[in-house]
Amino acid sequence: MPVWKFEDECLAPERRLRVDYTGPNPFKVCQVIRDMLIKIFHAGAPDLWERDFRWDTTADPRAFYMRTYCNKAVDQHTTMFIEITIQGEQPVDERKSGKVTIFVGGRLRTEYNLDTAFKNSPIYKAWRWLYNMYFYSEVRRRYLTMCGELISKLVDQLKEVYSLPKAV
Amino acid sequence: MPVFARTKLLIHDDCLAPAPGSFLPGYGTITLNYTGPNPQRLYEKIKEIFFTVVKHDPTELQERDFYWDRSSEVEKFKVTFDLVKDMDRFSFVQIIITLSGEAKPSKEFGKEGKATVEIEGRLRTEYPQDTIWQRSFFYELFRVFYHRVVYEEKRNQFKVQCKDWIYKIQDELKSFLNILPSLK
Repeated sequence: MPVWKFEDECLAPERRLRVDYTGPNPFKVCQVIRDMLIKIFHAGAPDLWERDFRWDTTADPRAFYMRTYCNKAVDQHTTMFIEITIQGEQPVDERKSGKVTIFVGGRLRTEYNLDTAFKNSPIYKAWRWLYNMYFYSEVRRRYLTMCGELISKLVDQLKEVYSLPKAV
Repeated sequence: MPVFARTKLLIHDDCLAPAPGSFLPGYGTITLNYTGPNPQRLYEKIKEIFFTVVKHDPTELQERDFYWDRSSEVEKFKVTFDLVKDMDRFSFVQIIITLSGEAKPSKEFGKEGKATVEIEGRLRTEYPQDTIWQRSFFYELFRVFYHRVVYEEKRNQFKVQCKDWIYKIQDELKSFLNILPSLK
């Protein structure tokens, strides 16, 4: 099925935010990330995926890796795609220090389906092109701002998990 | 915010770089080193200074990298602040402040240690080149004319503004750290 796709980084001009933490209980973030995404992005169960989860119990410290996605629709054509990667080491003794690195990135995806004969016609394409250029591009910019704002909020809450300083 | 176009013409300038053709190599960054009480307080202060000096929208500032090490008595930290301030439809200023340092407990001040602040500024202008019209020879002719006659001067003003913001931020930081008494 032919589709017109537009994809932009929410954190442009860069791609993602990075949080590094060294201290006790670094695994804690993996336990709370799902609830955070539900709360901040108002996402439901079908919007969330835990695509990759690795937990190595053979060694001390225990290595862990987690990749989570949140795909939240903002309107009929556009979705916010948030990707979180967490990687770290959790010591068996919880009082000991471990470390964790968290990457948070997001993209705004707009798709126009061209699945019918009418939608494949030059008139529809021309109308869609004009609509996108003169009306929808402004709406998308607002969505991009909103997406960046929500990602910053998520990162602030991730810092709260470890009681890290949060700027006012 | 950058221009979201699939193809674009990008003009990049470092706000702190010397004029083109200058025989002085110069640095594109300002560095501030501090050793003394409470260097960790700079983290909160930088955000506050950004807001008072640049008067940006809250969504325009992001903490790109955040590193905090609490595994020992000495707390180590490194934070990168990234401000992207829209100047007009085509241009934006990006100010990047990297704060790094360490703080250890002190009986006298609560905490003491050292910090390094690096400030970098960029001015970027982006012309979209998505459509057939935007890629045409006539559009390019018009764009070059507009850029040379009208926009070049405007860009220079943006660059001066960017430099001015950076120097003000530097002064405010010095004032906060009591390195230099504020002249105001």
